[in-house]
Amino acid sequence: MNAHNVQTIKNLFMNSSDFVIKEVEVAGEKALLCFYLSLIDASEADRQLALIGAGAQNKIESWGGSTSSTVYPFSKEGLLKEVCTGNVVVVFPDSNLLVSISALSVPERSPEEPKNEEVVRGAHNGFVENFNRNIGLLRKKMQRPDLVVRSYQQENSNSQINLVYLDKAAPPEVVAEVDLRLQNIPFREFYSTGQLEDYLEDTIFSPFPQFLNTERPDRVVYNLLEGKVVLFSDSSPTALIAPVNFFAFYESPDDFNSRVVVGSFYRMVRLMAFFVAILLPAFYISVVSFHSEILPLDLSKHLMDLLKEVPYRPLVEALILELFIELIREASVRLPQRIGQTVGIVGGIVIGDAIVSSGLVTNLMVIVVAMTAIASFVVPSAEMNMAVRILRFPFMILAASFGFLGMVFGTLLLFIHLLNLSSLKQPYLTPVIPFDPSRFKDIFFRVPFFRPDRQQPTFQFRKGRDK
Amino acid sequence: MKVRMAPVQMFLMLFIVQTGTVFISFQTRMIEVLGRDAWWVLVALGLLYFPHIWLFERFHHSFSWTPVVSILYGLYWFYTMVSFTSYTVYTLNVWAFPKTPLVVVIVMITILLYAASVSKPSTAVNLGVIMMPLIIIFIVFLLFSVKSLVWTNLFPVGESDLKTLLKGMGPSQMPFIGIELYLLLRPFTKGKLTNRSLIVYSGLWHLFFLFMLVVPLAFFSLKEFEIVNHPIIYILKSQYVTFVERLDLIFIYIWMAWSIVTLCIYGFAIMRLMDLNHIKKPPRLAAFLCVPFVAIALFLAVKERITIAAILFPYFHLLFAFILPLIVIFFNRRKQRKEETRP
Repeated sequence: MNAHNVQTIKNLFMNSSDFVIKEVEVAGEKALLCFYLSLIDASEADRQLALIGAGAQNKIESWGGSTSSTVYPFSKEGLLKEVCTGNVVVVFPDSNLLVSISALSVPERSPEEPKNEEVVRGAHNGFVENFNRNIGLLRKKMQRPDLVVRSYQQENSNSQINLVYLDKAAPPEVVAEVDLRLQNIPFREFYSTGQLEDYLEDTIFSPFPQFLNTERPDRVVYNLLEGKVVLFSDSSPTALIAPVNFFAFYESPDDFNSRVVVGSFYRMVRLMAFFVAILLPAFYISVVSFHSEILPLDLSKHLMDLLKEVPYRPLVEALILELFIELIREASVRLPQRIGQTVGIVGGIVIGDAIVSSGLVTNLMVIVVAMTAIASFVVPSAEMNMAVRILRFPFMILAASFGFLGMVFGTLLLFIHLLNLSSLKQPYLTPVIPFDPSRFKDIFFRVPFFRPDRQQPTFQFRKGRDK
Repeated sequence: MKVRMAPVQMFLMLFIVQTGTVFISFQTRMIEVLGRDAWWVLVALGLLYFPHIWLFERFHHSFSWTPVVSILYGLYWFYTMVSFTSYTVYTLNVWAFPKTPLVVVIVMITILLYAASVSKPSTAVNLGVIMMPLIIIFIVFLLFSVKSLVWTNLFPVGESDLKTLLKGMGPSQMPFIGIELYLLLRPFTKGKLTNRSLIVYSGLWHLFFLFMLVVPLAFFSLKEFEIVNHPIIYILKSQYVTFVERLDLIFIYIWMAWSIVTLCIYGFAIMRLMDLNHIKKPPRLAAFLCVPFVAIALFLAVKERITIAAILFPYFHLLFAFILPLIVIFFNRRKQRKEETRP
């Protein structure tokens, strides 16, 4: 009989070679021990098993129940779910019971600071690939009972999407909207948070991110306090924050750790960087191609002399350099740090200098492209950084085709797009559009935090304001 | 489609529409006819702006957008859009990009108009906000010229006779164009507007146009206006600043953006008329309207035709801002009273 049971259970797990099933005896009753060898801590499982055995031997009423173990009536679905989530399962065929013992052990890294979101001052920890550890980091920072977690089971998988919010701060309509969207996802087996984002975003074909990605607990905490909701998958360190506005991508946790004046200054610098990153190469191309009369005469003459020595049109010059910068970036991102630095030095200094010396581009174009690249890296969000980097190409083409006319056309089109954009139905350009004077100052200034009781929830408009 | 806007959004839309295209050119015709009297005529006429808008506020409930009224206003606003587009591309062609074919510029503007028209209503409502910093930059640029102004150019006044004053009423109407949009936009703003808000808006409008008239009048002599078509652009061109050689070129693109936003608001108004009259698939109709829009705008973008359009505008304005609202409100109120007295 047991041999038949063993084979049936093995078949349930497709005879996977890391699936282990053993016949054991617990308190005199024959049982089957089932687990994935790759997911469990064997010593912890043995310890729990011994405790359960002792409890059953002593006829303790709740012999199978503890903080690490639970007793269920046996079912195939229950067995599959428990084993797949990394539990050790003891099946009692005679009494038709199933005891699930939590002894999960997967390789994990420590919650160190995320490499793409480093801060000068402040906490230096980050999320890891385990939701329980992540929520632990949050609960450590926010010791309050209204921090709510809602879990959504994915189809065809036992992994979960977790929605985290502060009940007293998050607007109920936003929570309801996320809940609705999570429930309506037709197929919910994700292997990256980016896929989840695709399902939840309002406008998927926009270059602008509508969820703020972060691996920093402090960033999540201040967004939770502002009434936003946060999504975690249980296998990714990335948290998705929504609803967010455009300006949220330009805020850094460093702002709140630095002096008020310093934090405000750098916030303004970052916003200026957005316009520089998108418009500077286009402006340069427009000026040298169509509107050189706008420049002071001396500069204009000097520029024309330089351009005479370059065989290509300004657009081609700019594209050569921009693509070159993109290649260096893409190459150095995935290389080990030391080799990445070497690529940067060789690419930036050696080849950059050679390009100018060989007369392919002008010095001024190198300055423009370098400034643009630096401005685009100022953004504290990797997603917004990519959006900005991509957007400068259509602007450059428009500028090369129509000069300032093309730039105005592109800018208006960009604003129309941004005005149409929303994050979980909340306007993307708020608090500028619709204008909310009480929060407008927060875009440019890091306001002193001496009145935390008056903290403004992000998306609560005064009555009568247009959405 | 439910549209809601705050009073400040409505006033911003109205301000952008009324200033957008005309503010760089209305001075020349006015000064040509009225001479130095132009500025006090604008002061006097501007004082009538508040009563006008107050009457609209008082009786806007009685103005109903019936299909006939909607068609008439829709045609008028379409004509305004086409004329403004022609004027804008013509001016840009003269000042900024003489080699770019007009049709290309018109098509680009039409693409923007279409994109704004088929967007969410809040897009057109809020598009004016992006103009606010640009308006401030423009006014700062213009203030550079204050040191060159000759204030005695404004005097003496009172040289125009009654016939000249009456003749000057035509070009003096240009700053008022677009006021009738108040009747369309007002129902989207809930609650009663205070007289204070109407006075503040009227005051801002009045100050802006007065500034745009007084600065050129004090900068140029009367004789110079015979050859200066766009005094504001000339003033900016003559300013010396260290960072750019041609300040006017920056301004002309600010003005272009301002004009396009104006056109987008007119486009929004036409889309709302379609909505009020339950027209099916407005985006499709808007796309269809783009074809005659491009064709007519291209046809009108010639100096002589633009001049004719400018002459016609005051008459259309008289009809659509005074006569038609008066008739519609009068008959609606009579109808309402009859219904109230009916047993």
